[in-house]
Amino acid sequence: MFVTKQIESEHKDLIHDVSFDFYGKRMASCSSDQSVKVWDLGEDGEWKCTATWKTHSGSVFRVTWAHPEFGQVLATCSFDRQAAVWEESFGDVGREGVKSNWIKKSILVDSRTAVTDVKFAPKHLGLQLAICCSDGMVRIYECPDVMNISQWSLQHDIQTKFKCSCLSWNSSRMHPPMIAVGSDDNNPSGGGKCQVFEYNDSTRKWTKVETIVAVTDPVHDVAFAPNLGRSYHLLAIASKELKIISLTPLGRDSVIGNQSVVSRFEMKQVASFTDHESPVWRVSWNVTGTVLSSSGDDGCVRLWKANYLGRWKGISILKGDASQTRQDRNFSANPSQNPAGAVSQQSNEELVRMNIKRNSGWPSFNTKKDQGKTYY
Amino acid sequence: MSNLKVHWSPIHDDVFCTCSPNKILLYKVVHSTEKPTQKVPSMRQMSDTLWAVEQPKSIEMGMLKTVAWYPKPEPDNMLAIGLANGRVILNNFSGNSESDLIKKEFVPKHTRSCIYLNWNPVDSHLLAEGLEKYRNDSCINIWNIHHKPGNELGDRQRYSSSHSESSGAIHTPYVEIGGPSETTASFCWFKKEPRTFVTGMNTRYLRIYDLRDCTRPQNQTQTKMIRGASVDRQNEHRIATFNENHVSVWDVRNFDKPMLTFQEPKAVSMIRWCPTRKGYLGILSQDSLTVKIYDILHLPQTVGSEELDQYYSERTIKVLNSQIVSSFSWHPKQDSRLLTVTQQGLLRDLIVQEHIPFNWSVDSTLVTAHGKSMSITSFNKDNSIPQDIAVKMKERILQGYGLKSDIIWENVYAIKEEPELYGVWRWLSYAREMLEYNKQGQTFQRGMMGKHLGVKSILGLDVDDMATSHMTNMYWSSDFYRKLACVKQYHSAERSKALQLCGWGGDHHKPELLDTILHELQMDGKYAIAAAMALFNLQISKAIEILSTSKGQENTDLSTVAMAIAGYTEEKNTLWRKTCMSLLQKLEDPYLRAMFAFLTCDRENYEEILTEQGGMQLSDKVAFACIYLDNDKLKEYINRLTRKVIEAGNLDGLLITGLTPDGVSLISRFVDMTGDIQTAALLCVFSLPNEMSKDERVLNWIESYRELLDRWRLWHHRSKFDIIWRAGDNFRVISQAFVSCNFCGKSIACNMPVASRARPHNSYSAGTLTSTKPKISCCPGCRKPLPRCSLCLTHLGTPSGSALYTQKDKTTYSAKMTAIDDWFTWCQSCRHGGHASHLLEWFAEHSECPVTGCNCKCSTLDHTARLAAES
Repeated sequence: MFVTKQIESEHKDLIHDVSFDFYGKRMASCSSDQSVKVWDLGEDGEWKCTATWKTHSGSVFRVTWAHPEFGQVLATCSFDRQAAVWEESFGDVGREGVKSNWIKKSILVDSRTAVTDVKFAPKHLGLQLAICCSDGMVRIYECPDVMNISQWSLQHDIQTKFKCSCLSWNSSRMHPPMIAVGSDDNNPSGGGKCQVFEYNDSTRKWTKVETIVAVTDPVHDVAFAPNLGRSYHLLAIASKELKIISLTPLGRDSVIGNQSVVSRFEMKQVASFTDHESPVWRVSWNVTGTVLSSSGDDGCVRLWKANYLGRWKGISILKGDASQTRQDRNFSANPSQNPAGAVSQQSNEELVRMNIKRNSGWPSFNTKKDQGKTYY
Repeated sequence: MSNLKVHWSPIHDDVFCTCSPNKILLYKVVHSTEKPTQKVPSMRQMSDTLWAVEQPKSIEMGMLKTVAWYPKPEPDNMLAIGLANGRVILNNFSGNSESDLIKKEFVPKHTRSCIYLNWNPVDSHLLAEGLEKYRNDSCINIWNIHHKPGNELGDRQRYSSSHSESSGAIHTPYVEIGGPSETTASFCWFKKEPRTFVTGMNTRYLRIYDLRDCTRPQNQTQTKMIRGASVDRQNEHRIATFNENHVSVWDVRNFDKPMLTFQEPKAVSMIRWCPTRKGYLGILSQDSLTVKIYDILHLPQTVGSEELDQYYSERTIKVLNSQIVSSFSWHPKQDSRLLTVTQQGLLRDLIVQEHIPFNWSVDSTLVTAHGKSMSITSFNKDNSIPQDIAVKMKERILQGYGLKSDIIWENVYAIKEEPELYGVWRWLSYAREMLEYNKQGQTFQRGMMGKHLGVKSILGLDVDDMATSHMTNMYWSSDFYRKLACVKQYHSAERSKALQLCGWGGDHHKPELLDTILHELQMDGKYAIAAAMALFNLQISKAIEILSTSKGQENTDLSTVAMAIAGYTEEKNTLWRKTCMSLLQKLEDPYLRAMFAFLTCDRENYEEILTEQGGMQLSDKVAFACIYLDNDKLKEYINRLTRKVIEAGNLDGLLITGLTPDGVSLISRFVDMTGDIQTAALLCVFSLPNEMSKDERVLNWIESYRELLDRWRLWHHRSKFDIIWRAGDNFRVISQAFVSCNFCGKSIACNMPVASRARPHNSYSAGTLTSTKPKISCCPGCRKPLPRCSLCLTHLGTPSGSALYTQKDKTTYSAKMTAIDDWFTWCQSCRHGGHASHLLEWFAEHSECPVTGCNCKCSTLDHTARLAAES
């Protein structure tokens, strides 16, 4: 059983995105009511809305945090063809604590259609921002001077030739910068609906390195797992099914020598799930890239995890549906009886252990005794 | 049963009706827990938890064409029923006419089929009826249900010839719309302007009328999309209509052309806006198994000078497997609730789920948003995702995993629950001891000084330079009652070092060492291992003794084994061997099995022990091989094992490889499989110095782990990790900040090198005592006083208040005072400052700078500080 707490969102319309900051102590949400809200975790463990502001002239689709090294910076994107960068500045300390103001530092207006996703690059690439639009353009902006985040220059535009709906940066610092872009185009004949681009240092260009042809249904979300030292990349794709694709870089050396050789990958579909029995809309990885969660039209958030052999399995289901919340309100007088969003545990199966060890009691060894073992 | 329709009651949340051409049934929704226990004739499941109970009353009537539910609570459940002859009858299910409205009839001038009925949502006495085309009559009649039959003129005689007995019938509509020979296809009232409505007419016009002037349409557009007109109750400017397989959405303010047109694969049979959720348009196609929903977020619009495109998404709602949906109805009040009925009459109650955006935090908290609400789900230690490494790593570090750099194996205390990691820490700990020993210079090693070694390097296998080993025929210990043949063993200095690394003591010249180890194992209750080790060292009586003196649960088993071993004979085909074989089947302990394997095998063929999979520790197998295999076989065995452990990512294998390229590949495989970046980074750091410290992968693990610690805000732990990491090399962070004098510009250094230079005689006594620290309240260069603390107004460099206590009271104030209380500190932005302790006190209550006239919000500028304060 997990414990779910409701938050009064005070959004007047559909919430499109929620996002935690680097430390998980702040949160931002954006909605069709054209507003963005920032939430802070108080000392009492309660989330409080510390800032709310109305901005774009249309639904705000996505909100995302920059690395705190660059300050308290948010980016939003909207139906109104704009992406905006926000920075926090503090006003007076009131009775209730600090009230913060978020100041619009920059508006990125190059798009000719709705901006469907916005993501900051991993920190080691500096302060960069990628946005994608329904007309198929992916644009990468850079803020060359991190002390002045109102200056953004368009570094690259990538023509994907499909209607982009989502993008994700690969966080690996060991590999060249990489972006996956998904398309929610309905036309199944358009081929693969997810493309992977890589930045080539010698040509200074982003080039397409892979099209994931296995996915021809509209893609609603993509997410690279945090790499965390793995030798391969994991990409989760929310489409008609939930797919996990692994990309193992092959022959990175071939890029050497000022030759614009495209990196090659060994691409493998690691898992494909239809458990949502309906299209999957969002995917998100935990911090280590070991637990994947997905949400679909069935109104559930499902968690997935790989066992030791790399086989992915569902581990639990979080019901987020309205009927559940309605019930919770009724039960709120006695919350212990029916914790909100009660979760059923699936296949609580023990993972395969590596090995059985003789010294399960080894830590109880006495120092002196143990030293006796090695004697020269 | 085809052509079945379903309607939610506009009044009651749990009442709906279904209509077939000759019968209307009323249902009440109950939860499965409240389901009546006695057998009710008709009860149907609607969803997992809801059942529909058929009410005993129904309306049966021939020629039934269409039904509309009266939108007011009184009279209860009143329906307007339109018939094939154009009559409209008001009825409720109870049949008793408390209200005079019940059983009231409205009769058009000419008999023709009724097409639709539509109640005005506000002026609910108005009921619109659409009728088939008639050459000299209008097609839309709007009835006022409160009209009294008496109000009628002499029309009655003229038109009611067929139904003269229906005395209560009303023949004069409130309003008639549409000229002779006009047709109507659909109709919908507006709610905000209750006297207006939209209707599709003459197969090519969509018209908006106002009852206050119904001679001509107020607005009209020419289109074929005239069927199913439906006004979006969430946004009354929006109208949806359809024709054949096209569905259009209109904005009444811009009525010339549709804002959006969707093309469906099949002819559309009905469309409805969801009354509760903005932008949901439900569409049902003929012979369809699903209900399609368009989630229209934005119609094309103009904002300022920008022409913005539409934005919508499609949803397909599966109803029931292979059942054609006949009709659906949105719940009038509850969010996105949809009731469907299939042609077979099966009901399904659904909720169209919102997309759920969500996000993970570093602390394994999940935020989910559902519609307009948000919730937080935390997966902490007690209710975490089973075995997830993210949660586990944080737990471990809080237990001190990887922070014990002095006594390495103390790190294992933090991973008590994870025995699979013990082996590698044991190796690290032994290898460190060996390293320390080597450092003392009492032994040789070829280029291996200062490294944590693996067995492979010790034996010289990695450079293919294996020291010769001499074979010895070893006798079994003499205290066994039977004389046994010699066993070949191999010895060399390298081999015994390898044995020590495996924890076997190893030196056959020092049997007392073996005894110590065996004793320890027995103390830990590991009798089988101790016995096996004794036996492999040819101490058969010792092994028997260990087994027979064992205490514990399995001791009966062990004594049996002891007895069996005692009967050991070298002859083949004896009864002993056969009995042992059958006993072997029952034994589960890998070490007991290995003992028998050792006793019964042909000498020099130990494959059974070396390749067993049952759970012998890798270190024991390697140690065994180091004793009993000759150089060639050992080399082959170790190489084979290396490949295997790398492939399996078995961390125990580091015992063999050490932190060599092979070892890094092994760890890489381990990370790929487990995501345990923590152990990987710790191994790389703890085995420093090693040849791989500049390897890209190693650095990547270390960096990734450090970032993880940073994200968890475990900055202290990260710093400790950094210290361990950088302890070996001469890495030094250069001084990063200097304070320079306002006057002469020289640095005001109060650190030790400067102080000792100034007063060399103090250098030996300087150290931990604060009293000997040089007091600098003026610039050492020009002797000008330093700025004053903005709070206590003493010169910086003089102690802050708490230090003014006399030294005697040291114990009382030391608790309150931190070491940095006296430090200069200042705001980076306004450049005012003072004693750290004073400023902290000030900013506990204020956010503005304490200096007069300075409005700098010093304390709110630093977000990280706020974070730290909160956590």
